[in-house]
Amino acid sequence: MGRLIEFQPGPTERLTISVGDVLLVGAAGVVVQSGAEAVEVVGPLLPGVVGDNGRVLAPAGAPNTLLIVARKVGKAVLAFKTGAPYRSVETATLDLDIVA
Amino acid sequence: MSNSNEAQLRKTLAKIAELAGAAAGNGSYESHEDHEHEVDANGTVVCVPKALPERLLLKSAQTAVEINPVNAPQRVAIGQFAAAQVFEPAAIAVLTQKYWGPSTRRLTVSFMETTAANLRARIVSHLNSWSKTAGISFVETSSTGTIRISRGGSGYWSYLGTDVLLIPKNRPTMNLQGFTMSTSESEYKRVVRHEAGHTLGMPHEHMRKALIARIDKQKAYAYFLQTYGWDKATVDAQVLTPLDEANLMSTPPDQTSIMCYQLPGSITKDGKPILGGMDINATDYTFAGKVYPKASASLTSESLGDDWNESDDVEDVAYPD
Repeated sequence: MGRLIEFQPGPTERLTISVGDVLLVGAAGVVVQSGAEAVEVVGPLLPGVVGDNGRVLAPAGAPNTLLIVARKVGKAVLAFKTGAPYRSVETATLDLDIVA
Repeated sequence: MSNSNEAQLRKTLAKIAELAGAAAGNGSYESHEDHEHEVDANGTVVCVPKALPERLLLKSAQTAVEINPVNAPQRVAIGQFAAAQVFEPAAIAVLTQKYWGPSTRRLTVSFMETTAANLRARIVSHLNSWSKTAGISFVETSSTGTIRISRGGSGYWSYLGTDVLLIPKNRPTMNLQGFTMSTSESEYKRVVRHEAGHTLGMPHEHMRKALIARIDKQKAYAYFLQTYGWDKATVDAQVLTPLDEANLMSTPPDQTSIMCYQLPGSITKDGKPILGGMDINATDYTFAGKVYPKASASLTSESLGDDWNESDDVEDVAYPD
């Protein structure tokens, strides 16, 4: 069974996960520097909520969430983009090992 | 937020500004139909529009549509948002209630995480920068506020206008990722004041047609893909889809508005950047003052709010075909 793993880019530079795991990443974007065949990127996304009126509401702002799905055994290098996408962007690189 | 929502937001803001300006004596609102007339200090008969109590807005909208279907909100197709944007029957009332209204108002503020008093005060003081001209202010509360700020989530964002009233009470309405006392004052001005603008119902300024016309699309796609990993759909939604000018205020696009993002010269046709706002500018202040006028005798809750008991509301009426 896959795991949904919350991940905040920055302190952690290397991570090992399993095929089927999904990383929930707080970032405005990601550049897959290598290993694109091993991961699937979903997003970037702008999270919303179901309001008290039963409708989906989303805030005004840049996208801030990504899903990284581990599809195959292998390695990938991901450069996550955090901060304000239009001005003070920061990059945090993650070496991802995907195991069976 | 979709561009169709932003366009309607601007349209309604413009109408509110027009009405508020006229009621304050400096506008040109001229319709006298179905409005009460009062005499101002100069002895001039002025037109004072009356509004229904909030509880009756939805019913009034439904009635308007029932009587004349033309009154139904338009379904505006704008690019990819057309399919996703579904206007509920409550759209008229929802759109109306997205704006806090022209009467003066205090919005309570609370914090989702434990936050030091000096940091809370600093954030609230920047929210209140708009109060220089606007008759709307933010005041901290020890209980659950109308505005709920988190510093732990991802990114900078805020729900728009009175949408915050629909957000579950255990969820933030505004996010200021990582803001501390060490954050620079310039970031407080650029980010906190921008998000406060959204809370007041102001959409992004950077998607004005004239500003987007300066952008080389292919350069933009390449730039955002390389720099942020954004696909074309994301670039379209975030950068390249202009608001419908027909629904905008007739002021020139303002690239230094606090509500305008910065875009680099490398993606513009003329090589010059879209500057983006670093702080609330004069135009922003003027606009805020018009949309949210400070205390005005003709715009109190007496003239705009509940002016009769709910038990006196007229029962549902069947209208002939």
